[in-house]
Amino acid sequence: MFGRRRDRDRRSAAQHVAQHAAAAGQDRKVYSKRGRRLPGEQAVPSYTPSIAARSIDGHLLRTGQEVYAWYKLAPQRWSFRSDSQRQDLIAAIAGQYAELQGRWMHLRVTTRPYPIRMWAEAHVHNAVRRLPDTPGTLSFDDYMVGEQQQLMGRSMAEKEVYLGVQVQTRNMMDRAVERAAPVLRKVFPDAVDAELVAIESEVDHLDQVIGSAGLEGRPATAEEMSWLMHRSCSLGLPAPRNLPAVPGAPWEPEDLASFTDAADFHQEPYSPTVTVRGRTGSNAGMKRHVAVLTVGLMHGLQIPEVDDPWVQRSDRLPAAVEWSARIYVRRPEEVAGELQRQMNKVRSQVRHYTDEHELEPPQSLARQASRVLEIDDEMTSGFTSLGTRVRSWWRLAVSGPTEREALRLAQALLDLYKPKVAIEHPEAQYALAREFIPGEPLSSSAYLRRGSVLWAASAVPTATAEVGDRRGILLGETCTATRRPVAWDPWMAQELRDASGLTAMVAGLGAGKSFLGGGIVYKTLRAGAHWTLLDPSGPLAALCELPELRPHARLINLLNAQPGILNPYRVVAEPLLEHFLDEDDPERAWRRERALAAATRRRLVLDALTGLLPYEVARLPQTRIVLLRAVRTVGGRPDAHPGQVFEALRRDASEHHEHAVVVADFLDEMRERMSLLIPEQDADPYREQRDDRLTVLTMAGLNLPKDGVGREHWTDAEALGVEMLNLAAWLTQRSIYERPKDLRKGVWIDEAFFLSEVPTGRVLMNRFARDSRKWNVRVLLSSQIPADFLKIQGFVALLDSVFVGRLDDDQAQADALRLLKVPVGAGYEQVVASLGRRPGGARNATERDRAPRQFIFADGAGGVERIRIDFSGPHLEHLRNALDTTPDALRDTRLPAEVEVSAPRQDPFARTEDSSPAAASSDGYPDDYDDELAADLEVGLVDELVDSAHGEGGNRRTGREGRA
Amino acid sequence: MRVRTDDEVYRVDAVWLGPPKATFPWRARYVAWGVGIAVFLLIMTVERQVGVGFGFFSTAWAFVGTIILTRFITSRISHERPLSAVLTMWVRELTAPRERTSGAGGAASAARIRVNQQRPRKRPRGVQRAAASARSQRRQPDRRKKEVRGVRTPARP
Repeated sequence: MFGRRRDRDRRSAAQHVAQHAAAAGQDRKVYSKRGRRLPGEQAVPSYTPSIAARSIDGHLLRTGQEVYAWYKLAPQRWSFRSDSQRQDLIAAIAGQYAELQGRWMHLRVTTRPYPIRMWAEAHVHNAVRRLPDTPGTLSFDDYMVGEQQQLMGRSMAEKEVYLGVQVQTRNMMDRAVERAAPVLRKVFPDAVDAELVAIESEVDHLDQVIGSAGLEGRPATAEEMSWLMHRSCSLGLPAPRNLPAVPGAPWEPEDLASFTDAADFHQEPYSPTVTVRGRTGSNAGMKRHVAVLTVGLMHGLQIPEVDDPWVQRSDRLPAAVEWSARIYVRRPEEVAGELQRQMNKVRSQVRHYTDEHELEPPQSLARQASRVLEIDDEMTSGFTSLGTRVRSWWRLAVSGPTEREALRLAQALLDLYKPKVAIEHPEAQYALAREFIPGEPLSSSAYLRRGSVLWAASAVPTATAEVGDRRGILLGETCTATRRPVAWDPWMAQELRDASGLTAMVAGLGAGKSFLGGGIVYKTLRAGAHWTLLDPSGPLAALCELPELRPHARLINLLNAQPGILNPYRVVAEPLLEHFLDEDDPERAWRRERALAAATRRRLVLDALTGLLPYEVARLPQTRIVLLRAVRTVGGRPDAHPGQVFEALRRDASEHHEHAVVVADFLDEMRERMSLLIPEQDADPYREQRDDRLTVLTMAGLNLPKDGVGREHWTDAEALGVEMLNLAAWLTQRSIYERPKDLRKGVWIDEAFFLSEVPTGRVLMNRFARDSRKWNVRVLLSSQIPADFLKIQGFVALLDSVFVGRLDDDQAQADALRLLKVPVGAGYEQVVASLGRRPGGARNATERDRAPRQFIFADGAGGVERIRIDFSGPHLEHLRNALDTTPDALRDTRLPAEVEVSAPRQDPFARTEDSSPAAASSDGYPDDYDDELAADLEVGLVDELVDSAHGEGGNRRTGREGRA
Repeated sequence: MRVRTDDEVYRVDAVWLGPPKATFPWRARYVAWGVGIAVFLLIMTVERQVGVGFGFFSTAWAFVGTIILTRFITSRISHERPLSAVLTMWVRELTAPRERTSGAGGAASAARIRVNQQRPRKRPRGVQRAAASARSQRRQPDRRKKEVRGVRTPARP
């Protein structure tokens, strides 16, 4: 029997669904609570909910008199948008309101808390392969406890905005049908659903109006309706820890008891707050005092330019504020009549003053008369309906465990809105608190606000300040309109959003770049990531000294490393066939990739050697020709080295032989200084394999050119420094291919300005952008000058996330905004300049500025927000000390010496792919000319050929032949 | 973009200064006049009910009382809070649910519920009669046992 049943289940899906639907329909008919009376049911007393709502069907909420459709509105970004974008948003919302003429709306703003403990849960869950604890140091558990303690009681609460729109008023027939439903369902079942079926097209129309750009509302789901009802019926109580299960069928009146029984309200006569007492669930026995306020008179506001949207402003309060607004969109003819009456009133008053009593009428009458004319003009001019008028009542509620606390918050809210908006605290608190419940009628007509739809839309309750995610490492908190913790998972973009893993970090000197980067590296290491850091100046070496990281960290000073560690032929990893198994044609993809690697090597050698030559020599066209030819001769094998290029130069047999020898001499002269590029005989610095979580490559003592000095003015040492830095960057890039594809890896290149100085910088960027997603890598690039990044073509398009710290230069500020994809010239330059600046009075203070540094953080998923970096927990003190790069003459000089000793000198660098077949000989390259040509094109080698072809015809062919 | 409400238009202070050419020394809104008349009538009615006779002084006092009361009421109302809204809110204050200080019910007690250890069961047909007679015999000692509850009875032979 069971077997047969399973057989039936396996039938076509469509049939199954159809059956299921039919069965469900039957079920409802037979087992509906109303449709069938059980014996003895007569004795059960009938239940009438204590609220006006009677039933909820999908997103339709029916009360005795009306049907409301409820929508959940999408959050809108507000900060770091241009004023015109914001105006467009307001106008779009106003247009949507205007389409709802003759309807009531109920706007509800509530919050869905996301406590820090839930973040901790998600974070621990997400921390796969985390760092093993070292005995005697801060363990992962202690670290998590410390993180939570630092943000104790804080919440990443998310604002949720719901909008209920009146669909229709219910007539007597509808109500009669509902009353007779138990009987009717048996006799004439269609009649029961007839009411909702009849308004179907109207609901569809509303769905469409609310769903378009602006409000972007979508019909609320059953779970959301349940949440909204719960939050409203237990106004001010903490969110329930677990909601009752959401039924699949519509809510009948009896089911609404689950909302109303969760809490009860009571108040003393004329008391300033209403008391809400929880009765069931996690809130049982809990008492909260709720102060309900209402929006009073309002001055003119300059909304996108000067003032925040006036509902969003309440987000600045450190506690959740609930909003409930009743808005009635009026029909123009109705308003016209009213305006006429007001005008008559003014006229008769003026007459009363002047004619009957010979007095001067008050100025206000003249002003009112002109305003009436203005409104009349607004309503009749133009073809848009933005002059449509609304009548509205806006209530706010704050709650506290004691009456005093609630009143303190209410006072804070009053102060927050001063002086432009008056917030009133009326009596009848209980009745006002009931207004928050969907379906309840308006309790009193006091504090009526009239205005245009544009005014109502400029409240923008959906504007939020969200950035980051909810499972990553804690960076700090936002510090604009809202204060909420910011968490960021650097691998979420690659794993979930299919975005690149490139992050730019731009900040001036002392703006906290290395502090932020170091913190990110430390925290993600704890959560299981692997990092390779290229830090030319070396302060990040201190990370390796942290006791919990020491066993898993390795510090390499590249200047002391084995010769050949920066061999340009080796820093480009050789692709392995097994990494291409998921491609359509693994063999072909692998070959293409190998050709690309070989071309990249040649390009890199060419660049490095050109960069090392004196500028005047490097500029000569012959130099390029001979170098290119020599590089081609040597080929792109991974076991080659620049020394072979020198030999090839000397063997050059073309008409430029003399010049080739000159170039070879130049390079030979520098041979001692470029020992890192040329390995010794039989020595392979990549032989030894090690699996370290953190590798810090420093180049302490490297000579780098100063900012803004042109290439032609670099000294030999500086040119060498830049080339070595470039090769070191390639080396870090190589490190990502040594680990499994899915493993979370990170690469941080500090002082990344050189990327724009060397031609291969762009190639490296492209590689990073392409492979960061495939290989799950987060690439942090930090620099002091944003223009360095902008100079690299197409870089902004590849970027995922950006951190911008304080920058003082005007041009740099504009460039930073360009990186952030934030409108330039809209006044945000000031924000960049003021990030973390000390107030003027403290300018001469001798104490160090230890205030947390601020950054503008664009998370790549649309959020841009000003954040304050906060690693201030006591459990991170050792990290703060280690990352403190500010010089201090008073500090004891013990630390640097220790670092020097513990730094493993001459540490051979890890990993080789010698085992890969055919890597050793150039014969391994099949004659895949197409692949090679494509590869050459990709790294830009062909440009070189074409360029040099200008000077000398036909050398491309020579090059090919030479290689052969 | 400057956004503002239309509230100013609706805040016309409609005052009645008095009959033409005879300006009163005070300025009162129409609503104040309305409230004043109602209050005056109310006070006069109350005076009659209490038993104060109609005369100059009683009317004068009623007038003074009207002014005081009207001033009090009109100080509570404004364009923001029209008279009707204030009255509604007053009613709402009166009808709001209060905290219940006296508990309903109290501790539940099951003292009055009879508890039997065993439920009655059907007996085999043959022994039913015998059982019935046995039960009637046994009833006597049962009752006695109940009377002397708490005292240990000696085991019966």
